[in-house]
Amino acid sequence: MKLFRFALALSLACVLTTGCAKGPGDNAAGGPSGSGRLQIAGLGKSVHPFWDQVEMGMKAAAGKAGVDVEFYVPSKEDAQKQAEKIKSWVALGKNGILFAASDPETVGPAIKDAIARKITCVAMDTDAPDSGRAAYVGTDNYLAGKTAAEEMAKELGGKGKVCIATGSVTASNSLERIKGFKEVMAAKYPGITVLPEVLVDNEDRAVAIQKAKAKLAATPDLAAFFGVYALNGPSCAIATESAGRTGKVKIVCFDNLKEHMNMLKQKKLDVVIGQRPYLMGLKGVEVISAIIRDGKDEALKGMGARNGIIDTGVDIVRPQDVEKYRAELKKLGIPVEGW
Amino acid sequence: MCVRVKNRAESGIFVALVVAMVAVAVLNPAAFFQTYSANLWLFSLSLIGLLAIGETFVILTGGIDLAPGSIIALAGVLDALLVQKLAPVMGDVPAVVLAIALTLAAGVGIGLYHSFYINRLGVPPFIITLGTLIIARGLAEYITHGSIISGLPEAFNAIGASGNAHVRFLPFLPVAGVLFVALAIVAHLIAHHTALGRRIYAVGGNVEAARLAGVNVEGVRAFCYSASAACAALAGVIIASGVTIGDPKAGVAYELTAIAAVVIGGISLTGGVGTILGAVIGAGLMSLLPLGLTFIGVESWWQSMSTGFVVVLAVTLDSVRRRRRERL
Repeated sequence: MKLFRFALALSLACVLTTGCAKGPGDNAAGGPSGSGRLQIAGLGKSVHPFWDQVEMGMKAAAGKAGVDVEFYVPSKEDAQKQAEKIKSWVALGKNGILFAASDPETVGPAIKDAIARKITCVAMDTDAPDSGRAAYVGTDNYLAGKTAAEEMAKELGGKGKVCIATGSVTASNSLERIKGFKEVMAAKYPGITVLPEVLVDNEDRAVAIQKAKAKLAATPDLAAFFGVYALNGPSCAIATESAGRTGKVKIVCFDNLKEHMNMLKQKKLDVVIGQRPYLMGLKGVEVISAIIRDGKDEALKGMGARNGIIDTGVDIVRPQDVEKYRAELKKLGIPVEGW
Repeated sequence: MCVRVKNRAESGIFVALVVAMVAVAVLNPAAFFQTYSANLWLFSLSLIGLLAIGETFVILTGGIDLAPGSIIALAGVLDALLVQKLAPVMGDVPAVVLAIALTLAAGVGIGLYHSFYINRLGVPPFIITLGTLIIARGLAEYITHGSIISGLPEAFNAIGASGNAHVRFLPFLPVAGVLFVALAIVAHLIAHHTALGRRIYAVGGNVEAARLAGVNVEGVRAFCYSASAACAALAGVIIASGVTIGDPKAGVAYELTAIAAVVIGGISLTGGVGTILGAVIGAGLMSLLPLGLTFIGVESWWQSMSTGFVVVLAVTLDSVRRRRRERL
């Protein structure tokens, strides 16, 4: 107990002295601190392999760019904790922050504060345009939705009824994907009907399966599901299998976790759309270093940004591509586990 | 007999259930009239029904149990973890059986813990079960570190299987449905045909009067809270089994669905009034709603709202009817 108190006092003292010594804003010019290298901090959403890959990308970029990176991810989604972490990084005098806000409303003020102290802030994975971030690095979800629609049209040969399943009808990434998907279908594929009712499960797996089953029962001529969130594809696959309609009802879905890749191998899923977390971390660090070095406009032009968005793109994987995809990931040093 | 049925508290909600069924059947007969749909409904009804039966016992004593949703998550994770650890040692089937037994025992333990705080320490039921609502989910997240437990043997899927591909008994009857029907009958017998049942109603009607009449109030509460937590644990086992995954995010807000089912089933939140049959019919309506609205093709925005509307409507009709009867 005594030891614990001593450690607590010591750590508190450390925090206070470093805080005072540097003081927030001392790095106002964006100059390098202590070690002489830029200090860039990365903030994930919740403990998950996705964020491990982001961290790996950040570290890979750090080695090349000669910057120091630190990565933090809360054990579960907690916007309040994220805001506190950002404030502590401001106090520590970081030069750049690459952040993925669980809730842009809650995290926004802390980011605004960091920007006011001349810290370069770039959003990743989930955009937070109102925060004043210099750029967004991640999947352009609107474009990804369009890509999904094109892949779906290929699977269906341009005709059939499609049902959209998602975990949220309020989160912007879900809305953007659905918007892009519907626009392409309406404009280019008159033979494909997107059912007006979107299945929403609030990321409850049992609900996701139940709703997909109900939709299958209600629509005997359903041709395909579009799975918007990670758990939609597998949930639709389980439902389709239980209805004995695997293969007859196509499934095009987001994310390439081991569950998806295994189902893809078993042909329970038809097309998997993988995001590129490794690239998000890599390009995030690159763009922050470039902004600090060359200024925002120059840096964004150099990185090929469109409206401040640096699209990391998506990977399209079909059952026959699984082995090729595995080789590509391994080349990047991304660990392939469980499939 | 006819008169009795007419006057029973459940008759109103039963009519509502029939109307809802007819509406769905007329609007999409092809979807409604198939064994697959019956199976889906029964599975969903079994889960909500199990929670509603447990909740009914607690509410009859004048208490409330807010913990079931989180107990579902904890039980599912615990069950999955035990199977994962035990299966390599003792084989898949014995591991699954033992894991379920231990998980249900843990459920009873949580119920006893609730009743201990209520009986001995005078903590209000709302508070102690609210504590579990938060703690049990936190514990489930801690056990899995926010992830899920997957890669479980096929035997794990036996109790929660639903849909055509996995049917074990009758074509429309999921295993969970069999368990639910059996438990509902047992609960009905306990509530309406035993001394324990009469004591539960006595405690809910007037605690002091019950105590003066020699009722073991503490014992009654211990039974009711244990029953509720065990029912939630069983629902958690079934849900985890159905998806073959232990998921700490499972069951969020299920306790509210269960409480809604209980209330529209005519059970008074102040205690002492209501029947198991009412809770079962309430669960029938609460489980038919999301399914039926999907069959009809109602947009998801309206689906969540309509559940709220039905609860308000059902309870309003019920209290209006009650008042009219009191005036007569």
